[in-house]
Amino acid sequence: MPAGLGLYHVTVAITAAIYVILAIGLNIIAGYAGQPSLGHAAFWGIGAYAQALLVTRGGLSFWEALPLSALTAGLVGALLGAISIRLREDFLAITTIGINFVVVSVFLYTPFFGGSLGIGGVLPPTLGGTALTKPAYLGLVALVVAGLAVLDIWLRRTWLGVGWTALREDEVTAETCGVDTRRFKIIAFVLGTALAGLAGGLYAHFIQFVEYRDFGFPASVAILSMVAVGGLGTLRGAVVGAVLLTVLPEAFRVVSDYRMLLYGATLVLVMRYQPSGLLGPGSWLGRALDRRLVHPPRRVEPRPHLPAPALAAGSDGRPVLEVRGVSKRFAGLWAVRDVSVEVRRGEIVGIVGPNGAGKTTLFNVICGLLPPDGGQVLLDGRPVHGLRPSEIARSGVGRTFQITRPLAGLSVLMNVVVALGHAHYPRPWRRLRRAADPAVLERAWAILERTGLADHAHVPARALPLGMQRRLEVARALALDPTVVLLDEPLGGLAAAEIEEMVALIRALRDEGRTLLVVEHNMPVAMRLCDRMVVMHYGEKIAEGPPAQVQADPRVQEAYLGRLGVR
Amino acid sequence: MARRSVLLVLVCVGLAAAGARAQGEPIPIGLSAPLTGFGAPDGLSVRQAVELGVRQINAAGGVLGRQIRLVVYDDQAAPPQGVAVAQRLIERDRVVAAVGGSYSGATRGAAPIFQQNRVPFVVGYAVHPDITRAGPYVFRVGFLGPVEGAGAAEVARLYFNAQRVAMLTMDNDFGRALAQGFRDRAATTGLNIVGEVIYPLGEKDMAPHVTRVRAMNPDLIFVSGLFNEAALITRTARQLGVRAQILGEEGFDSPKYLELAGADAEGVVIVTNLNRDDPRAVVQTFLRDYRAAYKMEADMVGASSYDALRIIVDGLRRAGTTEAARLRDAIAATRNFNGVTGVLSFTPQRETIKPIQVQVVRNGQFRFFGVITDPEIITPP
Amino acid sequence: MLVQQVVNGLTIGAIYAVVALGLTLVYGVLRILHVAHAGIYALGGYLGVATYARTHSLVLAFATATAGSGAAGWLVQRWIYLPLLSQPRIVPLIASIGLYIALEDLFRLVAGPYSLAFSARLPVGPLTMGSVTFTPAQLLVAAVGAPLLAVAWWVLTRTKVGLAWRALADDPPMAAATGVDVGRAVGLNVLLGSALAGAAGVLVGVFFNAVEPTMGSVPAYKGLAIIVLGGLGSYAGAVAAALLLGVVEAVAIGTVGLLPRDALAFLALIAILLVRPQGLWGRR
Repeated sequence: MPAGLGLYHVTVAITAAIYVILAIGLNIIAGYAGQPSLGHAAFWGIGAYAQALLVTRGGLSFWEALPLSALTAGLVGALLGAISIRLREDFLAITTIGINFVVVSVFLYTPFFGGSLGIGGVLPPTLGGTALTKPAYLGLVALVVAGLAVLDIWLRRTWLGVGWTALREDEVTAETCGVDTRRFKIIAFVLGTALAGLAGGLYAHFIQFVEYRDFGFPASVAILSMVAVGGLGTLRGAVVGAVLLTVLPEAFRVVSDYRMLLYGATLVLVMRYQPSGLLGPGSWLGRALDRRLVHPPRRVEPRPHLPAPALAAGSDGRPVLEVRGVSKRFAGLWAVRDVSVEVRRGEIVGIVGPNGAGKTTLFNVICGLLPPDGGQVLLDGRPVHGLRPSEIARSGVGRTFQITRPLAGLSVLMNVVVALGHAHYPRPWRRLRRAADPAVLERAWAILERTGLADHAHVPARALPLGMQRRLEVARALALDPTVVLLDEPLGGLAAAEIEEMVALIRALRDEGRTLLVVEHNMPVAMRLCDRMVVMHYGEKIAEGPPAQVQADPRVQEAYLGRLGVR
Repeated sequence: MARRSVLLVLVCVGLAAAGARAQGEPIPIGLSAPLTGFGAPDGLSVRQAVELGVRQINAAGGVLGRQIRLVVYDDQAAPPQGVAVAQRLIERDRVVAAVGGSYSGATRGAAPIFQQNRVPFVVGYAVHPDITRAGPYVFRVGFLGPVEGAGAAEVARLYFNAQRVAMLTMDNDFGRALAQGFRDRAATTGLNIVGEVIYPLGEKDMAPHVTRVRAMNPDLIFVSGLFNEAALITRTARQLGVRAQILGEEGFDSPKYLELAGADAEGVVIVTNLNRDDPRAVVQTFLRDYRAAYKMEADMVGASSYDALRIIVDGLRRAGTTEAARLRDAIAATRNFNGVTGVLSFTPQRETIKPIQVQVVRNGQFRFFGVITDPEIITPP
Repeated sequence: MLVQQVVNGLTIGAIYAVVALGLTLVYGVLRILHVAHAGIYALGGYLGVATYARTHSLVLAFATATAGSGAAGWLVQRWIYLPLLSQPRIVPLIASIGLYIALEDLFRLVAGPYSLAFSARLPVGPLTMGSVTFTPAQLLVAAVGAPLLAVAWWVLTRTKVGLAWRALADDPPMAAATGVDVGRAVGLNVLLGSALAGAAGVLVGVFFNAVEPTMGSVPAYKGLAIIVLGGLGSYAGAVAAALLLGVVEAVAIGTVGLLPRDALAFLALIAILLVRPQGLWGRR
């Protein structure tokens, strides 16, 4: 041991390492998957109590008990994950606050857990007959931390990590890219809380007793503060935050009277002036580090002969998408009422109608974002209504949003990569494959080339101008290799030249055998683009047919009165 | 206030430095106390009392011809902090012994560390039974909960001849242990307990609990709580028209209780280990000097920690050395030590034996009411 | 005993209600879980006790507490919350928690760790009606709490600025587009919410005869539980949930005995959210 480093330093280091494990776990839940959690310490406590019980009463050794403690915490974490699916952000945050009080009360009010006396007599672990006392125990805990860091770095690069990021950026977009957000959330909760349980097991043998008070709301706040001060969503942030907030108070023992004041003030100042944390992606230090360390994947020139789309070109007259008598009601008003549309392979079908006609609602029903109140949606003759949006997306329905929804914090390239994961997500083990492998990157670059975004591949999606964002919407939909593409006002807000490029792109998609549904307000362009048009008014379909025929329909003219002429 | 404590530290350092020049290196003694967080009020009392003790001892020439240097750390009443503080006191500050001025959690974490490193650790008022079980280097000055609870049951029978006793118990290790001792003693002496209401730690709204107690129609209520809870219960009981005798314990023993409960505290009787009317000089000097130094009254946690310090110093004097094993043996041999909290001795389990003081609130002050010396009651199990 | 417990519960519920109404006001326009509200509330307690010690006037104590807390709240939203509105929601939440921790310790450093007695002389004695006793402190809560809630109610429903807040809570861009001065409306809103917290601080100080650094720790999270139960952002819901929680707690303790009070509040919350994810009185 280096001179001057005594057991005191070892003690502080073990404490810091245990907090690092807690922070890594919480960072998976709150940083990667974006789920607010103010209840992390409860799972730390569950792990600690499980470990204490298993070794003192169950007669297990440290090594046998440790995985079980992590598992116990992870199982309870799965429960929280299941709850989280039903609750929106702030409700979830407060529910997780509640978890602290519920778990602590169980420890305190159940005699089995030792009540207010806690459980004592948790001895240091032994390895090959010798007890692992402080310095050796630090070695063990440090090994665990190193292993978890490697695991974390690897996970970030798998489809699981990519899915989490998508979920964090925008849940709806993630679903329409084929990410089953429910599963990804639960996996994040299970993994994060299992790590907390692991930290709890290690903690029990470090302090040698467990007591309910240590695992309450203040402890959860402390862990979250570590992750937030370091930089939410980055491994380096979690590690540095945990070490900093454990070691600094020790270093400032001299001014111990002001410790909590300094601590609180640090939280306020860091959040106020470096909201993404000291080392977070948007922070001053974080950006400097990223510039030096992170090299974006290099541009891949697509090979001249990409595998041809598996779709037969041209229209064969077979219905691909059937909407049968679909209705949707909001607060007693029919947004869509008994609408039926049949779309055949290789068609471009326009959905038009005045504002509030129910066009976007119809899209949301088709892609699964809204459950229909009646009727059916069939894809290749198979009913898809009632499925998750991600399932519908994976079965070949891509969509774009009228108000663009990029995964704002991700690069343009990664936006496309997320949607390329569709083939991997349903099979659990394939989620653990590396996401951005050369084959995937090649396809992503090819799609970017095709949509004219290749020069902006590394730009964060939020920085794109509107025209580019519209193309990114299409690029993402295209990455699903869809049979049907729903385009919600793809031309809205575009300049004349951009409109022509978009029209050409849509036609090209049709020409390779895809089927397109287009909501469009720009009537002249829509009439030029579409093979057929469906006119909606007050939620009902009032006309259907070739553009010229629809235009001549007196009911359409009545509904639009004046509009057709103007636009 | 902060400025005052800085000043105090400076004074201490100055005194210590002056002594060191005259007599060699000062003897470092550690103190761990909850200076911030929820235990901060008790932490401040402990710190003030122990610093007062160090100044008194140093002014009287120190011990073994050397001055004492006190090293104080905040443990926030949290176990990991208690462990780190213990480790730091032993290793960086090389203390020869330490005063445990914190609650059970932090003290329980610290005790095994002191034991492993063979540094005597004298605990002021933490009640968890596991603390002294850490090993022969760990001692406790305060009462064990069951002893004090049994004493309270004896007071109810002996002084009040109570016929219908209700219990209002704080739900932590302290309150539960007191209640256990109270019930056990009541069972052997035939004291009639009509019911028990348990309230959670940190409770502020006492009306629902007191209303339940009121419905039991008791003539005496045994209440456990720290001074905040105690004052709230006393006020709420009187306001809700409960006239029964209130019998409290050492948690009540704070000037803050008297201030917060105000006139409603009149007539409340408590069992504790500090007798304000004790004629012994050590008690009166402590009370007077504390008042003079800090412009407030001393309390039980302060007095217990003050005694812990003086037991260490007494041990040093008798051992004639700072060598750990001999210091430990000297402390373990403490008999009839003239402490502020009573004339006390250690049992072989390193728990304290001392009389239980019974105090009554009269004209806004704690005064002598009685004392329990029955060895059957005051000897720790 | 039941009636007495209901009275006990309504009293504590009324205090919860004043705190929670302020909290839900702030949530409505800023969408921030304003944990530091509990610090502002404790500030009110301290300002009140300090004023009372010098003037022996409860009216002045309430006046300084509401003014001081209101001003403090206004500063917090100006300096911390407004610049963080575009950040992920967890950022202002952590800033708010940090502010609460700092405030709590500031009170300890300035006024000492001990509770300060707020022994206000109340002009009434206990009022006994049959088996039910109203303590002087309970009467004070009724005498101050009810008018406070009534005034807040009037501001919310009958004034222009109240309308502006509701418009902001429903649809911020739309409100801004229809000519609501967003900065001013938000500032006034937090001012009123914080002033309510300050008044609650004085009420609690008198009610428990204690003002202490940690007095905000329970309201900090219980206030959040209440406004969630009431349906985040719903004023009537928050008040109803506060009263309901107070009564349920008191009656449950009175009939069952030892209960993990906070855990039960949250268990109920989780159970209710699973059935009604929008809260008891919330709109989807």
